[in-house]
Amino acid sequence: MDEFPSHSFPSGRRFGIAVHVAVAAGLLLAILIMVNYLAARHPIRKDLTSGDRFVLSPLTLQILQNLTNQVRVTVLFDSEAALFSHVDAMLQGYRSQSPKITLDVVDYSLAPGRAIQIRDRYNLGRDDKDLVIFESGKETRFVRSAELSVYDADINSMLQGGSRQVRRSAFRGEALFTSAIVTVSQAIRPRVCYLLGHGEHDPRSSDQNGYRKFIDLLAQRNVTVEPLTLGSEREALPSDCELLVIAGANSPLEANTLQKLGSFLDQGGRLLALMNVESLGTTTGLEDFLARWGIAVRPSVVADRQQTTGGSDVLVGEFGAHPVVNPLAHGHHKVQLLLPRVVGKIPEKFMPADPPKVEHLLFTSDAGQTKSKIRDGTAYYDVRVDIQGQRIPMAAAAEKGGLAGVAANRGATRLVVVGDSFCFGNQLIESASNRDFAGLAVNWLLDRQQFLAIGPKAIHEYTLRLTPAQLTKMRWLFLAVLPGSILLLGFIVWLRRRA
Amino acid sequence: MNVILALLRRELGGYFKSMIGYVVISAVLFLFGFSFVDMLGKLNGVPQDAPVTEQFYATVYFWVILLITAPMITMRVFALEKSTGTYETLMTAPVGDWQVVLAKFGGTLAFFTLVWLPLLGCLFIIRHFTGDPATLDPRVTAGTFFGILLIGSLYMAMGCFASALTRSQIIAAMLSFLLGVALFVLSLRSVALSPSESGWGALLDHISVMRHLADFSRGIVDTRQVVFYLTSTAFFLYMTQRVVESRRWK
Repeated sequence: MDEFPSHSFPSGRRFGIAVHVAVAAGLLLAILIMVNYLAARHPIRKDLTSGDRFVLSPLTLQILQNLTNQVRVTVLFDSEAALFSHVDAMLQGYRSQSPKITLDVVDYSLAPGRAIQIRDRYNLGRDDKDLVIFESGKETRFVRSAELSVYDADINSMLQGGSRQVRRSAFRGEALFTSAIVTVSQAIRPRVCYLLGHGEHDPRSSDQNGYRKFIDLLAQRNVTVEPLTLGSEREALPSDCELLVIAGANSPLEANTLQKLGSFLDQGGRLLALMNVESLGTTTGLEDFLARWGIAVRPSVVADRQQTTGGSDVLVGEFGAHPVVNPLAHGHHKVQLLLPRVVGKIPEKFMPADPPKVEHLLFTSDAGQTKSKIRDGTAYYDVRVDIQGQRIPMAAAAEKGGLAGVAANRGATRLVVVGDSFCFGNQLIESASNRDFAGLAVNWLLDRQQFLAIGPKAIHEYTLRLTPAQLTKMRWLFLAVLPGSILLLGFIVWLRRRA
Repeated sequence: MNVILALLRRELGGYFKSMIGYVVISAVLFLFGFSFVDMLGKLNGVPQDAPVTEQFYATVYFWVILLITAPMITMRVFALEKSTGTYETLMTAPVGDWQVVLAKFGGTLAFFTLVWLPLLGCLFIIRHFTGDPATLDPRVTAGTFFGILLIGSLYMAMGCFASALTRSQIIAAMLSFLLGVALFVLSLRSVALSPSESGWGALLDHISVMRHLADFSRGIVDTRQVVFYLTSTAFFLYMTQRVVESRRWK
């Protein structure tokens, strides 16, 4: 190191000065650490983006400021994945707003060891990735990347067999993250009622058609599932029931049950109705009931010669434009249904007054066919009434705004009706993307009004479209013209100084 | 103040009186160009959620440029003066140690800014060719350059400290490079540790330059990061001043 041959100070004095310098440096370091500590405790984040991409809504800020429980947020994402930047920046904003939020960002491709630890801790599978985990006490909530986007699709073009391009148009992370924080920190467990008594799938059964896995899926979403019968006069839907599931009813529902269902939906209730082929020859009462909500369940099953693995199933790859199925459409996923019934929109002229907004969710390909003649348990094409060579809908969703003063605590009424109930059974729920479809349907149904006020943030999609000529021009500019001109300037200066 | 400005002018002039300043800027510009050409080739026609400018700061190119340019700029500030003998002349002039340190730091930071300024030109070129105004959000770009300036100030302060320790420019460059790489490696290490489970993890998360730059490049300015850079720069400048002062009692 540096040498100055001065020995004007005795070694003791030099040692004293060195100690003094070391103590002063240590003190300064301590002060700077304290300043950093204070800054870390009271951070301020300023978003400079022109669209305020990462500014949190007043509702989120209010919830974060009133947070009393510690919430641990774990982001298990590939840092090069789409949306990571949005997820990370937004959750950093959450952390800066509340000391109760702790945030771990784990890139499973860079830190596989940590990813394994997290998967073990939350009982996740090896393929579970690109998700955000919210945990407080014993409560956990998962938000998956598939739920985070709002897509724009040119549906008309898709219906005409044209472009299938689906574009990510907005990021709905804030609504989902805030909802998850409220759910885990306040231990709010939405109550889901599961109707029994009409031949529905057994929610405790592990058989291939049992619904145990579906119930587990609900439990993963911090939902309390309760079996329910409504047959007698005394039995009623619990007032805090947020979602009613009717999975595969194949015997008639009692009049008073239907009446209770009607008042539940009128008050902003949510219904997941899963029909199946076994109720084809029976009038369960649900058909007329659902017609009042703009959804027709026809007495025929659907086949699709082009999209099937064995003839009796339909491998659905055609989706409508709806939050429940947009992520599936974007990811080109498939849903497997077994002998699904036709479930579609009631024609406009038969719609009730003040009709709900009904959207189709699942379609066959253009080779769809209906079969309404049932003989020996097998469905046949009836040339007089059935149709073929068309896209046939097999699931629909309906939504209707809440009635002022009546539905204030529930918000909008929502229904999802699927023409097959076996698709969520223990066996088929693992097929194709059936599990994702079930999760997306439940999430949409359980969305509460308060969080719908947090709108999605628009995403600008950046696509460079450079011609080969432009690329060549840029290559020359970047690699030769710009560095060369600076070097030339330097050479001229050097020559002039030399002269 | 006039003394500092005069010294600063002298420092900055030192880069441009010889070829070194032009060679450094030209080399950095070539590296920028190379990285953009590579990125544009890969991203052309592929829809992205973030502009190419934001993605550039997450690439290895950015860090290579930063880690290499910092020692190249700072290695000469004290070491060259010591080896050529002008250091004694400077220190016997009627200027204080702090004035010398601040002027030399200011000179390196000004040159660092000049080195990175052509990046703005590259961004304008990309915007011109893509025709998409969203490619270059002026406020986000301002935030990014503010971040580069803060990171640069820390790296320049570390470089000045390293240069003050020795009379050899090579050793000064090596020391500066070592300090810069150590900070970068600690940032990489923070990926493997949970900030909520260990104090070490929280510390690494706090000083992670990669995380900081990710925020700046998204257009987010966070006071935690600003305070970290200002205080750590101040610490290294203080240490530099102490080393400069040590000639009196060594």
